[in-house]
Amino acid sequence: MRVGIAGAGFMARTHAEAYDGMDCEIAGVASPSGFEGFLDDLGLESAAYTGVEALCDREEIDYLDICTPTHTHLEIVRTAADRGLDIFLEKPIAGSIEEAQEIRAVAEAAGVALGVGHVVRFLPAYRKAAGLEIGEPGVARARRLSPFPDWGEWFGDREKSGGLFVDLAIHDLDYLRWVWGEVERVFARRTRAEHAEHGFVTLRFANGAVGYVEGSWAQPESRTLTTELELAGSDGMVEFASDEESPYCEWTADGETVDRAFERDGYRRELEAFADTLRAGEEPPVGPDEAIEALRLALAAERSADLGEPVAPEEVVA
Amino acid sequence: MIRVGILSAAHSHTDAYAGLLAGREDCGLVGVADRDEERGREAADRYGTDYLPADRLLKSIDAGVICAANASHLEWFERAAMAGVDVLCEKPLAPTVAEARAIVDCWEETEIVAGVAMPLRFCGPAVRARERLAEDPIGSLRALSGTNRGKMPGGWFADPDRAGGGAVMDHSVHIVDLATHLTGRRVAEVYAEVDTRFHDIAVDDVNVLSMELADGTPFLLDGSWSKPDAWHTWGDATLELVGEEGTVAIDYTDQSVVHTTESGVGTAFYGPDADAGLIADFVESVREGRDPEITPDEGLAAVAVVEAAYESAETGEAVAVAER
Repeated sequence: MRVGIAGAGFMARTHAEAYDGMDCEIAGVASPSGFEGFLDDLGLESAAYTGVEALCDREEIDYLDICTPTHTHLEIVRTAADRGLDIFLEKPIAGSIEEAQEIRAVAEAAGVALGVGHVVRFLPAYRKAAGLEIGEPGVARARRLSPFPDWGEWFGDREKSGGLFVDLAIHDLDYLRWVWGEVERVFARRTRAEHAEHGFVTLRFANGAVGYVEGSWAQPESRTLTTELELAGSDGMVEFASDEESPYCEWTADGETVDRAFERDGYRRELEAFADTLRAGEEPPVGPDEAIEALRLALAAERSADLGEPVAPEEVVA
Repeated sequence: MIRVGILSAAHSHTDAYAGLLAGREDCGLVGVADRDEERGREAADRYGTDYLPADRLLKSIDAGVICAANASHLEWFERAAMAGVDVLCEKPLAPTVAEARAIVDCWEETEIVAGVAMPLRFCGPAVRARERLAEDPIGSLRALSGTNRGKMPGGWFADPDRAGGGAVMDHSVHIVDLATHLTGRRVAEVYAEVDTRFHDIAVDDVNVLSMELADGTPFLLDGSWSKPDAWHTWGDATLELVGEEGTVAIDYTDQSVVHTTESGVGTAFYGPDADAGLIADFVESVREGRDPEITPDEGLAAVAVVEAAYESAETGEAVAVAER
């Protein structure tokens, strides 16, 4: 398959690394703000464009992989859909339900496939956990803690990124909804500063179970991304903590290397799964409907934190 | 020599406290009183001491440890105080704010030495955190997140009349008290998700609290009885404090060796004994006639959070923790 990548930032790099070794060729990359060594660092010989239109018009590609800031998604989706190109879109699908629905409608009208990158569903540990027997769901715990993202200035602008719940906690909100089903109400709290945000959301699922998602963009640089998952049920429990995961370690005079070898593998798996469905002419594994419901949970959390009240996700329609 | 007694052996912590008291050279364990004579005699035998009627025991001791079920704390506290006996009371101080308030009133009127058994303040990581936070390494607080998950303890703990509640009653106050101890701020508001999902019992076993401290700092606590019976230990006690400049995290039980036998995998705790710190502080406070580390008014503050949590579960709204 031949793929075009929109964006040359952190997520575009992550995807490009995942494509390395896959049966996919990166035919072209588009970024209006330059590439900052993107192609050289990754050893890519792909064509470089400043505009997505030019990339889509001039390269023979099977689909466009959109790795740009959230607020630019709709416009780029239009560009691809207008040209009949299938689309893989990084999460969150959009910053608002209206915009997300517009994205879905644009893809539907053009008859192109639209997959959304909810990568946590494809992380091997999370995927394994989802299938283990624990009896009736009881309490779910999911944490995702990291420093403030330093790979894009747009993260600091909540109009563009949506903030902590919409950009970060959405990973776990989507995962828990995928595993335990629809959510009836959320209650959220958070603290914010210019370049820091920390918050948590409690969830009450339609099946009666309780869960919570804690997210942080407020850790010091010395604490890199840490994730935790616990699914406790009436007849068992699953636990996972990323900081206890060290399948490969190396100590040399230069320091320590702990290779969480499969951390990136989730991206490979989600992109392979998407490419496979395109080849087979099937629906993408995570489509816009699922992505919209995940966004609805994140926006409900935002609203709850603003109001200091529990919010039913179904109330969030814009 | 301080003469001490056990005032009811109902609580599973009794053995630890009695053992520590019996092992101290400055204490003499005079006896055990218990409304359940069989339980009291068995406990007395275990500790190599006498089972005595409550009135007789209270006349012959300087201090007592109340290890009764929650609903009996007030009664034991008042009897001890009337007898001029100093008291260390098992947590939670009482199952309701009204009863906890009555204990505080009794304490203030009789001026006995009284403490509440919330030993986490004495655990090594918590002591270290308190010392470090005094040096302000993490700046002003952004959020707190804690856990006190455990196995379902059964017995009277799952009896609504004697315990006054389930996991919310049993597994909220430790971390709530520790958070106040470390931050100097009390919980001002609680939103609670409470249910019975893990066990076929008449009390709650799901206890997820979304709280706010008096300065607005968000504080999340999972104190559910969510650990399966086959889990490697009784439960956990963790607290993470996220500040502007960094994060401090403590994990009480993460000082354990793994011990596997034919009956399964277990862990054996090797860290400094928080219970020993609690008992030592209480014995010293009795000797010196000073307040112990945790006084009944602080026990009351934690009970107020529990009551607000149950109210929130009832109303579905965030509930302010009243100044009580």
